[in-house]
Amino acid sequence: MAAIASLLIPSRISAQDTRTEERVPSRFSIGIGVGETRSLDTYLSPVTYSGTSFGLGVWQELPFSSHPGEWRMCFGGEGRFSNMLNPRGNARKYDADLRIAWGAERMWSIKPVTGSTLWLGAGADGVIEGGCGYLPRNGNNPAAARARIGIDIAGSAEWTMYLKGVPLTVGERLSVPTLGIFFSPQYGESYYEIYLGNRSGLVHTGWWGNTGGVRSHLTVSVRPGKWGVRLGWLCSLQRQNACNLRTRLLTNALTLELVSR
Amino acid sequence: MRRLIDKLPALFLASSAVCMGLTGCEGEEYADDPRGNFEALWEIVDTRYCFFEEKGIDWEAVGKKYRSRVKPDMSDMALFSLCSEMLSELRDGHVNLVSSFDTYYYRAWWTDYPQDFNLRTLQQYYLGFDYGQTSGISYKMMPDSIGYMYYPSFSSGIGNLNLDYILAILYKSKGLVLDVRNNGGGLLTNVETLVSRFTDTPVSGGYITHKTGPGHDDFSEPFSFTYSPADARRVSWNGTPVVVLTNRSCFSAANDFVAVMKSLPGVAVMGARTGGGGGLPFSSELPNGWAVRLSASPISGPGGEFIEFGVDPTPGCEVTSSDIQLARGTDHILDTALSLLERLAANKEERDLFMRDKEEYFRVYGL
Repeated sequence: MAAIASLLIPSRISAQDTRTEERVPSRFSIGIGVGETRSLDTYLSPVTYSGTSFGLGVWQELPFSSHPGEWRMCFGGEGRFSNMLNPRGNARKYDADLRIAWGAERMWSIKPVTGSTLWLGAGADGVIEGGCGYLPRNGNNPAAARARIGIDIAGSAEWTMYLKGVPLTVGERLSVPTLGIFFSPQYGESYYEIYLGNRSGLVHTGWWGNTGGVRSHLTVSVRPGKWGVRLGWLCSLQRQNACNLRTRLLTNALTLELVSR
Repeated sequence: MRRLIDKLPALFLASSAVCMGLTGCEGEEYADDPRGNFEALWEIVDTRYCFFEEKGIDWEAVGKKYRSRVKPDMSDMALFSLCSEMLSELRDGHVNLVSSFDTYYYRAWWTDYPQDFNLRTLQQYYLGFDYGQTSGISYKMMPDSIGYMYYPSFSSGIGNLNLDYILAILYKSKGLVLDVRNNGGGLLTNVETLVSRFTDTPVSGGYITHKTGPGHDDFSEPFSFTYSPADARRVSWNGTPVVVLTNRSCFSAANDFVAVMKSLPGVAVMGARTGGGGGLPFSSELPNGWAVRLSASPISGPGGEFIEFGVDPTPGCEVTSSDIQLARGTDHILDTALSLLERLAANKEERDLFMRDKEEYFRVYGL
């Protein structure tokens, strides 16, 4: 473990800035992500599809004006489009996904090593997610919509150190769904039946027993001036079990963002 | 706290590892080999198909019967043939298995019956190769001012404006023949569009049910749905008698259409029983990429009647057209419909009874 830590903690740390950070870290970021998505939705097919995903996201973190050293507000959104194939490669599936989140985090600062600052945060996000899988080869069940409004618990860690006066930040933000409501048709219910007016039983209460997942964004950013660059790895898993239907959407993507204070 | 800090890099890596691990945890339930594909197909049908009880099918026994013939080294074609044989036990025209080299399709719902229709005979001897055509509908004003429309597929989208034109052109008709023979179905939304022009009040479109789980008896309560009349700005039928012509090749959406039209006042269904197809089909697939389609959501008629096996003509309107007659240029079903409409146009008393109670009409007057 010490070896791993030694990789992440620079051996020569600049003495340029050792003063205590008064305000919680805040930034604006906008970026893209490219990666792989794996999708299973038994309403459409019992087979898992996989392929390339492209994403776009914006994220803003701001200190609360009343407690700038302890609390921060986070909000942002991201959209993702995935183009996938079945294992045999003879059918294509598309998936579009949109996520909007607003949250608040309590932050604590720690000074693990002289010249670096570690911030730990814990809070919750209000999340609205929507998406749709589309399998053109299917006749009367070509699409499966997803929608969720819920509360995710969130945790973050940010470690900022200075290399030759340039701040280098390693960060991780993790969120996990807790309670909410979500949409799901019944096991064999067609969208045509919903169109005809049968709208009962479409909204379900979500909890860890039927919805789950994790969203993890591990990042490394360098910000020599007002603007900087942040590289990251986003792992997002959405799971849903309702009405004897299973949905899994897993994305692993490399992200590239522009960040500014 | 210091301990926690020491562990932070490890926590980062651990959370990442969890995510990476999740990537690999959604493997296929069945292997992509003959046994796996057979079992996947059997289970899809077992959990999704909706007419086991009505057809008296013991799917467990069917699986047992065919499972023993699956061999690990059998070819794709041999497996396809075996799977097709198993699916034929469902006796369902909505059931398909689609591979890159073949498509299984149950045909006996129409091949075992007379055709009662010949398109060339219709076009040559009745339409004289001179008719209007739009939105997939052929139409013509026949002699004695009887309107005629032929709609061979509900897959052809019906434009509201196109339908306005057709009904406006035929508006002075004394009656209408609406021919849906050989119509193999298509989009149910087209059923609604067409039906809406023949009613001035909301009418029952039937009942739809869906499976709520994988069990053979897991069904929702039937949901009643209605079709509304067309918007007042649209052209609707002029209210004169309508005869809908059917044969055994009317299937799926056409079957639903006939069931609804049969329930409307002033509309008689004439010809042969339709081919059925009362289950809304769903699609699925096997690990080897073959597509599967099967009846999943039963739709019944406006009175709740079971229509998977077809819709009968209005009592007293069972008429056939033999192949010999058709080859000689005579469409007996169409001739009968035309003469009925001419008779109704000429006789107000008969027409009033037909519009009020068509079944009574045929009991009293016959064809």
